[in-house]
Amino acid sequence: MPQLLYLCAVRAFVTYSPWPREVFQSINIVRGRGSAGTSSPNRSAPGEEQPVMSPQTRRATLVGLGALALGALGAVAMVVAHFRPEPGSHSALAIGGPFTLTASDGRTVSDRSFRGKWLLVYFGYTYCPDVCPTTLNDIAEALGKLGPIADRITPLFVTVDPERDTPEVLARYVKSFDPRIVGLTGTPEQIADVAREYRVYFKKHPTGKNPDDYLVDHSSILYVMDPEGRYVTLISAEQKPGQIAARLRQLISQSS
Amino acid sequence: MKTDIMKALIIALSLALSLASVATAHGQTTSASTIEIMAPWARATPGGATNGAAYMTILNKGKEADRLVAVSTTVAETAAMHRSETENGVMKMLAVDAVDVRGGSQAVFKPGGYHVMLMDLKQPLVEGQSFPMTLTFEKAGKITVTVKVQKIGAADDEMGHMQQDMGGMKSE
Repeated sequence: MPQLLYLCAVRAFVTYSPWPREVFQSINIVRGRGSAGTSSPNRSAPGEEQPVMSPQTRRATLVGLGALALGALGAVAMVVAHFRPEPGSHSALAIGGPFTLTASDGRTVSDRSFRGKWLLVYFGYTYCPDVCPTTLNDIAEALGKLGPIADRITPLFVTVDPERDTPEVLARYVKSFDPRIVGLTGTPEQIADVAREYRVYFKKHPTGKNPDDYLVDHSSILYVMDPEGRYVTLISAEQKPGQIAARLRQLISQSS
Repeated sequence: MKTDIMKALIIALSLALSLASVATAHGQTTSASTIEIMAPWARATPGGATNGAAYMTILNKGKEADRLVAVSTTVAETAAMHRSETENGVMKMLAVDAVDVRGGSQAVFKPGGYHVMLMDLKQPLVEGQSFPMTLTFEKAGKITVTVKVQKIGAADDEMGHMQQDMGGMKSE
């Protein structure tokens, strides 16, 4: 049982550590992707025998690395907790991720389409008469206040109402606030996926007899992602445009 | 002698009548003037949107509490009182049956809070235009206001300077 725990820890460490799998294979902790007991040939240097440890050595190394892995994970968690800028926000490792959606201009885009730009991600919908237009307008005003720095930011408006918010509707909607805002929609599954990745809650609640009579409760939060697509921080949607602009300016200037 | 009595009677009657009319007039004045609707406005409709929201400040200058019980307008299929509420980062819109305005206080309808939700607008609201909206109060009765359509970018704090603007308010 303890050995199982070490193995789990090692597996977790290998999977989530920033180093490639090869690093671990090179020290013979992890076997290659080939069949059990044989190292995959393309992962070792040509003509070189894989070093084989005695079971005792291997076990000792596992114990050591398991402890190291746990320590490293703890350290990472502490660093993350320390630099987490807003209390109550989720772990930096947990927000955002890959997505495939349809942009308001009809293009199919993924998270990778926006690499190189800071992202300000907001989830809402066009039937929302109060908070969404207020927030989008705040974003537009914040961009205005940022001047040339705004060129480094792409605001994304992801609909939580894909049934009604077609690319055409979204295109007209976001343009009313600022042409730099990109509207994103998709299939209900794609929207559910991206919402899950961003830890966004959304739920329809009916307001009448017709199937179309509904509003959507949703998380109203701005997510800041860096040019590599990594989550940076949350900004409350209740912040004023000046505060949003100041926060973005600070984050962008810190990074460069 | 008879004429004196007649005169007295006439004077008495006219006095009574005028008193009665003063009383009636006073009643109307009370209901019309205790509630003031300040700076009613709505955001211009963004492209593609079919819903809108109207905002205002309801001032109750009287001593007694009053209650806004209904809203109606011709620009949308339905108008209803709503309240946006953000709790733990989740925004919900809740239907509100009535809004109480205590005597000597005010109820503020503003973005992110209370608003008159305009559902299924017959046509987009255009900046610079205005439209009538009728508010029904339990005591003050119906008050029709002229709602001004502001630019999409209008924020609530920009509306502060309009607080004194009573234009468009009239009672039915």
